[in-house]
Amino acid sequence: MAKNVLESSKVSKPVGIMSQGVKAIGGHLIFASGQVSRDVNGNTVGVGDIKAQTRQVLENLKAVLEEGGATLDDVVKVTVFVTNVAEHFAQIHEVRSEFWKDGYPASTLVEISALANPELLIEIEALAVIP
Amino acid sequence: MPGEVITSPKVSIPNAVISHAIKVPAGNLVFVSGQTARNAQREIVGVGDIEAQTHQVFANIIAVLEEAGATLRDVVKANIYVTDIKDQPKVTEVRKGYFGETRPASTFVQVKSLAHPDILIEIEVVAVLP
Repeated sequence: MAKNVLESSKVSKPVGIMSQGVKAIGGHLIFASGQVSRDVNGNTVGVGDIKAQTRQVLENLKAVLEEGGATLDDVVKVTVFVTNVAEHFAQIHEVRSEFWKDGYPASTLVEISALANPELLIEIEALAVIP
Repeated sequence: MPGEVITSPKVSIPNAVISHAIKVPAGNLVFVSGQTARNAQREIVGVGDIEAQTHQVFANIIAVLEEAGATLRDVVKANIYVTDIKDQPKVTEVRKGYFGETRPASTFVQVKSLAHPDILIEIEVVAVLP
């Protein structure tokens, strides 16, 4: 299969049958798996704190992309899954604006009923293109 | 950003850190952000009416694709999020009218909530430029 699996030492190992990220199409595309607010040891960061969780999620994505030779600036699309859109939407975007100054990625955001564990408030997956 | 930011004057500016779409030269891809039933003035069209909302969503997608030089015929993947899966037959009927013979790969799921309680449907698409 024409793909390269990405594994960052800065991000905890996936719990499921999945890779942190995959590089495809001759190395031009990177699919980063949905990241949650876990540190490298697998501990949940920012319990009850959506801003801290969003920051950790974006740091994880950054680390995974780095393994593929990309940065957050190369992200063309994100899909954001949250457990409480009404209360958290504004705070999530406040943190996102710390990571993206312009050329924002295309994005979809939906509220779902649960993530991998009850402490997790947000999960973001990303697609990046290497120039 | 390795792609071009696409903004349509016919679609409201997102109240968020996102673009309408991104056009990526590698693979001639266009990623359109999830569209909802907001018109260019950011008003929600068709409150309580899934068919009206789906029509508005498609109008937005068409407008954004147009800015990137693409049409619905170029869509290869559509992800559809609804707040009530029972609306699927109605959405599918409306969708047929837009996609016609084009049958993009699709995912259709129910979510707990979208960005606003009046919003019943959100659709994101990926297109490949001809």
